[in-house]
Amino acid sequence: MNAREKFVQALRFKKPSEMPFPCMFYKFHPETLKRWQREGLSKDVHLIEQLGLERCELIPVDIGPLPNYEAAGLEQIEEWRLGMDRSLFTSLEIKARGVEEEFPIRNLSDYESFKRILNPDSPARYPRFWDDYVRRVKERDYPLGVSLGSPLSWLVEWIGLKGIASSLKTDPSWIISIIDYLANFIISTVKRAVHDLPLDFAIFLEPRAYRLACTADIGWVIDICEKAYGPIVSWVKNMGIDLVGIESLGHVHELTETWAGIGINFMSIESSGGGDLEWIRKTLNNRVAVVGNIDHKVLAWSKRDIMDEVSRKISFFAQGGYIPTPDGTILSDISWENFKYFIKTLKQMGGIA
Amino acid sequence: MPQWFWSSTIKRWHSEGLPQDVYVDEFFGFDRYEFVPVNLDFLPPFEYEVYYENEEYKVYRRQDGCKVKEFKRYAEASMPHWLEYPIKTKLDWEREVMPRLNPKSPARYPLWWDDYVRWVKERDYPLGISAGSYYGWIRNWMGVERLSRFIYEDPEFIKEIADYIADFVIETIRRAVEEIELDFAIMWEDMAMKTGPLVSPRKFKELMVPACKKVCDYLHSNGVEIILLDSDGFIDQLIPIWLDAGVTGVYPLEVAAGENVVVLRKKYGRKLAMFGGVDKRVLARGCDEIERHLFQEVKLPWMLTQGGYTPMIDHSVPPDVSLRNFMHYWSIVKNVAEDPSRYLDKCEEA
Repeated sequence: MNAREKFVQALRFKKPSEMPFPCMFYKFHPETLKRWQREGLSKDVHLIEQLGLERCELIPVDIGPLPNYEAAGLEQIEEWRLGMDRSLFTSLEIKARGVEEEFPIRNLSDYESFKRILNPDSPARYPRFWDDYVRRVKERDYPLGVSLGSPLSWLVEWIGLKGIASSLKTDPSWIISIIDYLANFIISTVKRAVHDLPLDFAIFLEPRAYRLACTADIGWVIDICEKAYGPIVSWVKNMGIDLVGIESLGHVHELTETWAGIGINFMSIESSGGGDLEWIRKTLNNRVAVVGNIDHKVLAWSKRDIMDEVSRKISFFAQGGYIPTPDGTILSDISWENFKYFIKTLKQMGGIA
Repeated sequence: MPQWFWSSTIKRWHSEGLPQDVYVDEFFGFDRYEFVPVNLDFLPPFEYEVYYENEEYKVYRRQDGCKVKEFKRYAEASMPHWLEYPIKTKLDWEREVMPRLNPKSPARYPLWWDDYVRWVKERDYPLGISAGSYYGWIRNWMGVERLSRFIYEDPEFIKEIADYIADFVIETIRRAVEEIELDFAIMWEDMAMKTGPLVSPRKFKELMVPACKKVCDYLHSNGVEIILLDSDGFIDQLIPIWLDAGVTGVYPLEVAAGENVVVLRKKYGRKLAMFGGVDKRVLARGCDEIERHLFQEVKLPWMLTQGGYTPMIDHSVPPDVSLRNFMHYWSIVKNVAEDPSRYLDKCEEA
């Protein structure tokens, strides 16, 4: 069974015969690699190959602001630094602690001018030689997906939690109009790819969704989710992509029911952020598959702890609808020895080694 | 057709009408050409390390092992000041540099190589491969002064490095050369200044050219007929040496250093393929000057009817060139290239 079949079958709740190791869901911090190289990882190898991870990719369609803003240090006075990152997020920092200062969208008129960099027809959204790319990936043996962007996280990045909160009090309608625009923008941007390619999955990447969920009124957030994701998910499924996922961080239990109701059928649930696989199973049954949920913090502890964590999760894999992967970026507190042990244990328990 | 631009030029052109959400190459209609992603750099690279920085500049070690002092502003428009090179002694070569040039390092080839090969086998664009450097790299690793001294004080050491590079290059690219039908290979030297080579051509021939020739022979015997060499500066004395070694073409032929594609074509005929030879400075002057340069000096129609010539600005297009001027240059090139014989009367008989 190749990587593509394994991945798709696992997420479709088919009885798994082999465990998938989709490399896209293993993220390593650069400092971790440095540590591992000090601990014996060869410096001239591909880590993915070394660990025996499998190919899993997103198509190279640029779905964010285009052109993106250049990061710029605007001013630096002694210990203070006024800076601007690529999403036009301006911050005033005291050394290590960032203080959010200014966001690119503060009102409707900011949004109207911001829209010019959200043009779905910008030629550079697609690789220059798209037809050749299509030829390359049409016959593949690995899972290939499309990013559906980050509607909720973009709101947080562009407007800020404070901005969202105050708009909700005064005039939430312009935020709703942004959400409507984003849904159309995302569909229009990925339309060509979805039409040209037989894709295996589509995925929302929402690292900041939990920030919105835990600060804004949850009823409003649920409403936003329905407005933002609903039309996109329906369209994607109509186009024949049956696996639609969401990758998020933090505690998002309050949103999972809504996401599932919209049609999202796989999620990355962060165990270390309070995401409980058992709860998901009980609440959502087989409506939602899970990727992740191996508590990445445990990987820094003892081998016994790692073994226990893998054992706890492996039974879900046997039931189908679950691909165990670390639930967050692998940080440098995890030793090379521990991580190798984790992969080995996963392979053994998954029936591979 | 290749063309390089400074990023500050593209920035300027954005303010003159070039859309910011397009591929520049696509906007101008440049053809696709690509290189096989085989990594011939140091592996692992040296650790990036900042030693000192202030508002104006920073002193740091680059991944090629050189310690440099670099302006923070206008870094692109200025050369860094090289403070230290990775090779100061023979021991540095053996301990610090040679181990980073292991042709068997797995990461020299991209992940999923077999899929890459399958993909590029049926392509409609030229695909090339890097074939190393037999002066340029050594100079980058030890500096012009130290290399120049070693050439006279310990020529065997320099020959040893050049020979090692040749073996390293052949062993590294072997898999790609054997598995893919390649269209061309590229060597990089940048080994001349305005008045001539940075090294005595006789010494170059003696110490480094055998290595270059070994790689050329390997490529030719494996069906790679076109071997192009990139060197700025006035390279007239080096061209015959490279041709003897098996190189078949050169670029970018800097006019400011005295290069002239018409003279070279008359001298070498079809033995020497050429890219470049269009004076970057002229592009800043205006449309009439551009036209005069292309027809009277480059003799573009005549060069194109000869074959083996691709017009190209003789290095990156600098930011004093307006978008309008570049568009004018480019429209002339495109028009002439469609049927050069129609324009022959616009240039004096070459």
